[in-house]
Amino acid sequence: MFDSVQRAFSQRKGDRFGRGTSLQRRLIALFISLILFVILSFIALLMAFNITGSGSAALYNYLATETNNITESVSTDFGRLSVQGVSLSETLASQADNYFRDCDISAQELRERPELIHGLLERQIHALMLYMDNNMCGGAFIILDASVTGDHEFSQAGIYLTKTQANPIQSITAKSYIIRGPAQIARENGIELLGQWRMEYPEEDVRLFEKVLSVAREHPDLPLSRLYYLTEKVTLAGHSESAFMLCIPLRSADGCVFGLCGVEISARMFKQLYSPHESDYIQVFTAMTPCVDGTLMCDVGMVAGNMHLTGSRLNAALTVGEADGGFTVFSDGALRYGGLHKDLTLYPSGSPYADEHWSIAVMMPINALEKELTGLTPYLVVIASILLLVSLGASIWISRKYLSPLNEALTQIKSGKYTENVNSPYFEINDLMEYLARQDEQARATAVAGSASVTPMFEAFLKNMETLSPAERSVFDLYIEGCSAQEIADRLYLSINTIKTHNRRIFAKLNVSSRRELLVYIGMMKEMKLISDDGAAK
Amino acid sequence: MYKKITCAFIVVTLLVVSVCGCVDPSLPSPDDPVVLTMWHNYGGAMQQTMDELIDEFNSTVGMDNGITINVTAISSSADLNASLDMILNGDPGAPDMPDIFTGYPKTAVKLAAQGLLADLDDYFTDDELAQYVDAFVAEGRLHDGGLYVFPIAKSTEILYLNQTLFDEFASETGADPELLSSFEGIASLAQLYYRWTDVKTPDVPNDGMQFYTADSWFNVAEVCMEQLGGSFIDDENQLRCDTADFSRIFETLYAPCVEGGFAIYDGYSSDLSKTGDLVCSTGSSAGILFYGDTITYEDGTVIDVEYSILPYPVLEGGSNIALQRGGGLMVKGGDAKRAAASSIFIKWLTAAAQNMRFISQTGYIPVTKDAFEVEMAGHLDNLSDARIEKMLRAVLSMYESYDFFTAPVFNEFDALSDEYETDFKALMLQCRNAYLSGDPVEASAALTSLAE
Repeated sequence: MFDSVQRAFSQRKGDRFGRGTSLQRRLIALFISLILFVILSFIALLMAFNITGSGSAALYNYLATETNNITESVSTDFGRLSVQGVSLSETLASQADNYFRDCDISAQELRERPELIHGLLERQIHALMLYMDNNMCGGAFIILDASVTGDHEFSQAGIYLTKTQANPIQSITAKSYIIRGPAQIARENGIELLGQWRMEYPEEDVRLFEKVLSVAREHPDLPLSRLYYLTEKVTLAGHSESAFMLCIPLRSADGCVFGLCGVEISARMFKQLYSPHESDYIQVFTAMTPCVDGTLMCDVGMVAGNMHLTGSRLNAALTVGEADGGFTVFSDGALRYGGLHKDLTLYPSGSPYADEHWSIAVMMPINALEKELTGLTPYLVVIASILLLVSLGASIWISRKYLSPLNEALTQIKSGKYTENVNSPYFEINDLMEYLARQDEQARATAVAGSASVTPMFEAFLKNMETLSPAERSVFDLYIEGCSAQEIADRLYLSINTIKTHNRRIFAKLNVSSRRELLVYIGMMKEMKLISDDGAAK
Repeated sequence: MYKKITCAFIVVTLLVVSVCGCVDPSLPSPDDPVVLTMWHNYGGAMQQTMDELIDEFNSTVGMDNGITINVTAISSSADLNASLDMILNGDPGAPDMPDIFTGYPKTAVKLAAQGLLADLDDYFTDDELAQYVDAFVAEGRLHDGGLYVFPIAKSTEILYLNQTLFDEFASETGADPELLSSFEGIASLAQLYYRWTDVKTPDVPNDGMQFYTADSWFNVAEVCMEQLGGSFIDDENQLRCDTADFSRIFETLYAPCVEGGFAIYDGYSSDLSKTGDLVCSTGSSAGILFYGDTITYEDGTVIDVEYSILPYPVLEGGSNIALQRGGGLMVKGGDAKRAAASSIFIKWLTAAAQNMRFISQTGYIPVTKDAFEVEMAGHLDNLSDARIEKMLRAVLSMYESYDFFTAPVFNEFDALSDEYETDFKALMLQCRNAYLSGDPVEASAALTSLAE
């Protein structure tokens, strides 16, 4: 291929210098110009309509919109849940105050009266069930800082309800279970026990919530609206599903923090509510995580996305890296994701937890992001390059193929062999060659006739003319008139092959070796006035 | 030269056509992905296992094929069934029909009649279907012969025995554990247990503890009728409560239900077991994870206990017959591409490796021949959960010595069984109260009342 190109462009460069451009080079240049025009026009059109194959702008817009929307949704939902949680806490505390009054004890004394715990929970489960049924949550719970065993350090009484559907407006019935709480109370209220049920919160569970109780006790003057707290992702002992717990202290009228209540934002609920909007980016997901020193703590945060049903595949702390093309890189060394993130404000000013930072990030694996960014551009470049190369090769090949008969004809003309083998595929070349041949023959005939004399060979020729058949004579007469083989075929309504057959026989009978020799004798006959110019014999 | 060019052109054309032909437009691909919604009833401890399997599918085979499974609902079979009914009836507020969902053939009958289900025969070759236990596949075929419910995991009913409580009872009373193999034996043990526990508090009469209950009294009646060679449901889909066989079953259950020993309870037996309010119960083998390994009393005392899993009891003189339970996966019809994608997921989920993982953490019975006949034996020794190992060993032994039957498939089956369950429990509670008030009702009179 390259040899051909080289040959085409360097062919007889020296010969051509100062004498114009070769036909082949011109033709190739013409082809290439045409191809480039078509390809550049196509690219210009793609760019004009922003069809570059790269999804950069669309992806950025999508991630930015999702990050903003989800952050806003989470902020709104958590704000609502905290307000409702505070309301639940006040309701439960009020019920508890009444119960304590009925039992003639203070909230502080509940620990010493474990036999009263069952009665308190029995009163409170209805408020808890009502709250759970009417709110968007995965569950609701009460934990008392007391135990029926009397040992509240290692076990705490309470109730933990969970339901199969987080969203109350979803038209699939939610089924409620109890994970923690007295079985008798569950039975009386028609609630089934989960396989992981335990009557009280064991020590592992208690540790999950002790921070809320201690902070509430340290800040007796703060209202409950400043004391709610969202835990990191936690899993109750023996339970399989993880959740965020929004905890609100239970504070009695005398200011005693005797427990806490709250709602569960289960992993399933989080996924249902905060997965990125359905899109072509199937690997995209949301992460809601605590943010510590520029690191997203995904191991204690929650993820939501089609590819992340459990979130177990993203159990790492991701550092927020340098922005890359407008996107942020999140990485723990081995895992790398790209996307956008936004700070999330969960606590109001004045809250002891106000300095705890959370983030919402919408991201996808970095290779998926890069693939979306490059889009179809590499394919377009490759396809355009292949098209260009193929077109270049084709134009060279076609040019050579197209011009080769012309070059051959020119070579023949230069070498004076234009009367031989005039089988060019182009009519014009054949016509030119025949014309040149006729001119040449006439010139020869004139030269021969000038020195003509009746030779024995000429006499034999004239005598042999009588042996021609009528059909051969018809052909011979038309040669006398100066017709070409094709013209003879046309006039006699015969094929060119038939004329060629007649020619062979005429040549044999008249003892001539070629058409040129035949025309020489005919010229001599005309010179000697043996035939008229129109071919009539005298 | 021209011949060469023509040949080259033909070869290139054929190559292009064949390469383009490899992309089947009726299947999803990474460039043309689908997200399939799924509902299932594997809640509680089983949810984690199912979630992990789906996560794995999404990140491997699913990603390679452009398929993502999105679980949008997990609830009980009854709740899912109610939602499907809403869809079927076009009720306002009905959710969108999921692409894949768990359910039973009785639900499939209604949905298939409306053309809402895909016939899975279109997506599985005969060779693929041959890898599954024939009886399980046959269960999912409806009247038109189409395969609408694909088996994923099966279960049967077994007898859960709190061995710790029973041993204490047996050591003091001499109760014979052999009696646990028949309903008559369980009835006599239950009454003995009730009396034994009742006398522990002589000051409080009739406070004996219950020994046995069934998660479904309808299933007890249905299975016992089969064990006696009959059928609880006649050709007109009505219950045969007026037969001699049913009288015998009813009378066997009546005395311990009324006089004490059998618990009549609206929830699952595992709830009572967790608080020591029951010694044994019959229920689904898939309920094993709802039984803990402790008993918690009201005062917070927790004691460790051990459960034994025994074969389903048989009426004396009856045949060894038990119920085969467990639905399967159904696929929404009407969209061949989504149905094809669903079938890819089902094939992966029910392949022997995944099937064994699922059953070894949930207590179900596998559905592929390889998993059921070959891998089970070796797998049992490596199970991390001793409860599941016990259950699977008991179930495997039942599959060697029991015959299994499946509930008939017809529209009114749920309503019929629910009505019987409700009526039976109400009648037993009424008779129990009458008995405690000193005005006992004869079993024959109670039976007549139930039949009416």
